[in-house]
Amino acid sequence: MVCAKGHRVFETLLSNPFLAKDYSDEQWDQAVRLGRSANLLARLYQLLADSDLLKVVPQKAHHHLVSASLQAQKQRMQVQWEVKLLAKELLSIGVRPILLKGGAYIYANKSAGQGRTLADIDVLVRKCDLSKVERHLKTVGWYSDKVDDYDQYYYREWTHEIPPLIHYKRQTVLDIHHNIFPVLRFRIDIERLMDKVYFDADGVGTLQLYDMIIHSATHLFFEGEFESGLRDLSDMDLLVRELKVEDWLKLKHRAQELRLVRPLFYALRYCRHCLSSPVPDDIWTARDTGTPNALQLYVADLLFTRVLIPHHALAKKPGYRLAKFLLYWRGHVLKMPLSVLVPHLLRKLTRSIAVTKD
Amino acid sequence: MSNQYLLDANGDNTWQFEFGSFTVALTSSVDNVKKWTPFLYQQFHKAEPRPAFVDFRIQIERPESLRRWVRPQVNFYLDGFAPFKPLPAQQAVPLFEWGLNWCIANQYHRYLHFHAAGVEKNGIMVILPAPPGSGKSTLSAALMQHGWRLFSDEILMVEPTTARAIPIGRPVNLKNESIDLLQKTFPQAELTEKFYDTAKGVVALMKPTAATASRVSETAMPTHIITPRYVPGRTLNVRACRKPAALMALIGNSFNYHILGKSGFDTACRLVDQCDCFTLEYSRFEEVFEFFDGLCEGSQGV
Amino acid sequence: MDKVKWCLDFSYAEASKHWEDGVVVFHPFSGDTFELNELADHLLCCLDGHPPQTTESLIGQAAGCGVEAETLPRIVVETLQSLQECQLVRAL
Repeated sequence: MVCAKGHRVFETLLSNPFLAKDYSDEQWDQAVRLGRSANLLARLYQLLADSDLLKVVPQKAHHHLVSASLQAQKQRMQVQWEVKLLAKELLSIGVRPILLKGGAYIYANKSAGQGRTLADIDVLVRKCDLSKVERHLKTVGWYSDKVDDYDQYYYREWTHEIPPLIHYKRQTVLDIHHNIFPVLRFRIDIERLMDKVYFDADGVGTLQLYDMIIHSATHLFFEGEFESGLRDLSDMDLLVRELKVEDWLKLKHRAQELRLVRPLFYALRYCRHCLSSPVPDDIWTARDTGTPNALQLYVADLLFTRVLIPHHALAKKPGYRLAKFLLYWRGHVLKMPLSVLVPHLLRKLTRSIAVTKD
Repeated sequence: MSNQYLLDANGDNTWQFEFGSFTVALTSSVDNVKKWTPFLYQQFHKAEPRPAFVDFRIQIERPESLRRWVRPQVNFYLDGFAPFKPLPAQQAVPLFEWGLNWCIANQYHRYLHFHAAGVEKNGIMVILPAPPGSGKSTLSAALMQHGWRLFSDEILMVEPTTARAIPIGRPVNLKNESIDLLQKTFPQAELTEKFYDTAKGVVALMKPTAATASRVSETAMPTHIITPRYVPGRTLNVRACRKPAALMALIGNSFNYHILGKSGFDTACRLVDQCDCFTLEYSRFEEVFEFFDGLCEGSQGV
Repeated sequence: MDKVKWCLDFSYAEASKHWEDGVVVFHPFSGDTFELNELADHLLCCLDGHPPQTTESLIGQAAGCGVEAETLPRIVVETLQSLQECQLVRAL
């Protein structure tokens, strides 16, 4: 690994925390700024702590890492507590919640939950339970602040979740999904996913390790926004590091079974590219359907490597804005057919004009 | 303080200063900021040579938009990120102060912060916790002019392991009537111009005294927690406060108590334990000074 | 007034600080801090080891502590709710 300079100064540390020993004050200054903009400062703190490297961090940088880590630890406690209360509530109506993403990594005590911060707790329930869950939570202190009729309509009709619920007192935000992807363009077989969920004694479910990786990949590479892209890659990096040698093929087969090869392919490629994840060379073969062809791959590299970064001026390469723009559209087109997408975007546009006029 | 502030040699309108524990770099080409920053901060250490690590990189600049020609506005950027809506350009100087407070309160959790003022004299260190509008800025500005060292008028920081207070010693944010009152009572006080129509009304900033700015690296052990309340016409009324009530008031005025968890609880308990706790109602500075100076008696030369 | 019955359970409270004039309790999971002042102290001795009380009678008991009548139900109910959310109080 070459010594970090310029825009890779943060990712390099995540890939190999031992390089911290050679970092100059200036590199630390940049690493802290980049890490903060990527929401990964607490993650870096944890990786350094795991390798007993905090002592090599200059004091000023250390303060910022500690700060971020305290915030993450607070969230960790909050997630564990909130999930306990939620599970109790849902148990009373006979529903067992399944945690997704950050909340699940923390609850299941995965290394991807270490130093993980989150804006909301993502929960998956069966579609048939959704309205029952929503009704019940609204009687015990949760409310939705999406009061606009169109917002409500949009959420219910075209996404795989209900509008976020907020607890009136604790201000925690719950995102309740009935699928891991918008229902329209892709029929993801949610039952196959649900079948493998592990429920603990409190009735809280988490996905199997393979499914956690595939879900995070699907979420990142089918959506159009990459603000937390590097954070998601880092999650997947830590998750795949838990795989044993013989697990890699099982991971691939699971993605094939769920028909989610493409996002997994990209996830592993960019985990390796950005964070030096130990992905085997020979995992994909020419016979594997769903992998991109040479041209698709060329374009994907051009676009994804420009946005899977800390979104900070120090890290942006030429073409960043164009890549972001194109991927935003790609995300929308993947989600909805044009006959739905165009009216939706027009409505958003006219509404944003109405709001900005003063 | 011999280290006089000078405009940066590079001429790029960047000022770097050290406030005890952290380094701030302020960049601005806004006239008001260029005018008042040297005045307010000349007594603080200019960070020389330019440090490689900066805790908070702040820019106060006009946003790129057509409005700049109509009703000019300024934006606060923390390392390129704008957490607030732009304000009228006239408020650029207070915007920097508020913004820096926000940076500390939101991103610097190594210390437990209280929404409190703090003053110190001869080893007597008083924490004045109170919500906005209770007159703690006015009171702490008056005490500073009376010879007490100001730790902060807004954010009092306490180190969790030692329970010692950490000074920031920045300019005091004065509002509305208190501006003229303080200028009249303390002719030696140095204030900026008045900034009108801010969210807090009329605002002016008071330059820290030399004793405050030059000793910004010296921590102190808090000895008193006094919750102040300005009541027009009231003669001084000091009452002892129950310790549990003092603790609840203290943590109710904390920005990051909830983030520090158990260590926050332990630190706050230790503070309340080691401090004498009072509530204080006042309307006249002389009576307050007499009371505060009384706290110092017997501690001379400590 | 509902007839919920309550009891206190301090096994979750990680830390507390006792002064002559009162007690504060830190609850580690929620991060909440409670002052068990006269009111809550009274709730404590009303409840702990004694026959469970109804919310209604708790309010009556608390009135004996000199809390102003208008604020009373809110204070009692909020105290109970907070304590209950943190599982320091259990409904029986």
